Amino acid sequence: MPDSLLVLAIMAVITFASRLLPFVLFSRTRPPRWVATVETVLPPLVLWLLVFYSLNSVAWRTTPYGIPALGGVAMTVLAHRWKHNALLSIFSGTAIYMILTRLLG
Amino acid sequence: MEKRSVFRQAARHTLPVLMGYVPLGIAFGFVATQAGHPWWYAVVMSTFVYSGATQFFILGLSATGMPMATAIVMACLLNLRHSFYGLSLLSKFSGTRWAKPYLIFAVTDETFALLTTTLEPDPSTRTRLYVLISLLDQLYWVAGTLVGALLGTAVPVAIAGIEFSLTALFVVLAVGSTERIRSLVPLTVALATTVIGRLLLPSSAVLPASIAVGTGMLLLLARHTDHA
Repeated sequence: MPDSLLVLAIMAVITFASRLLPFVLFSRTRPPRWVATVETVLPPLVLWLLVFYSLNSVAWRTTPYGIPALGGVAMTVLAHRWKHNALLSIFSGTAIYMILTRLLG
Repeated sequence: MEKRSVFRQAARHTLPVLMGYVPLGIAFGFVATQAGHPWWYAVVMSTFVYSGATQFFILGLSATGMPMATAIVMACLLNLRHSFYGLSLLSKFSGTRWAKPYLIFAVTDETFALLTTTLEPDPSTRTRLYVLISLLDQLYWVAGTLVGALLGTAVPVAIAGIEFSLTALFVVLAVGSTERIRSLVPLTVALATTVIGRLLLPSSAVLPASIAVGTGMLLLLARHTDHA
């Protein structure tokens, strides 16, 4: 477990640093305009990349051809567009993934 | 204003967060223990990291075997939104003195929303109110985590497929941020760089390369539309 505690400590520091950064950098000056650009475009890019990265282990060329993963992602997107309830979206997407895995696997 | 009524005010303001954080905390604690971590590890995470996306991301690290250097870069980018929250809180937190470090630590999506939208507090009790709101929100999150972690420990056999909840969480966050900017360009760029990267590069290089190329493309595009 020491490895995971080290990982946890690193992640805790990164998270706190991200929250502290603006208070250190812009306590006296106003943020420049490019900061606003980065703010709008980076989060969706990074989050979609994480979605695709987490699907890395899906075997697309063999049965069930990634259908459970695609179904789970589609369900999550639809549920979230519909209700905007994070928990409902995560549960329904994961449920569809589990059901499809059992039906097709 | 009396201490009691400040507490009551904070409790009332944080009620919607209670409804959201307890179930989400339970889900996190459950998934963490199902992934093989001890119950206290989940609770320590919710206490000291206190960021849902980052905590699920940490669970994903051991599941996917992401190299540490890539993980650090991803964590920085994933947490970037906190920095932008801070920009809007600079003036709000000025003059909070002793409480400032904790207030900064405890900025989550929901606490940020509460502090920026709903409050016009009495200046004399402002700091106490902010601290109570932040503390209560974190208490809901940690309590939910503890309940979920104990539940997950009590369920003896891991539920197959629960690891997909990590992907689902990232989808939820991605859909939310895509709706905010009302543009499918980042999604398209992310998909294109991932597909091309997987065809051309070794799998460990796909994510770092996609971040670098994707960020560059988006900045160029943004500049182009600025001038237009």
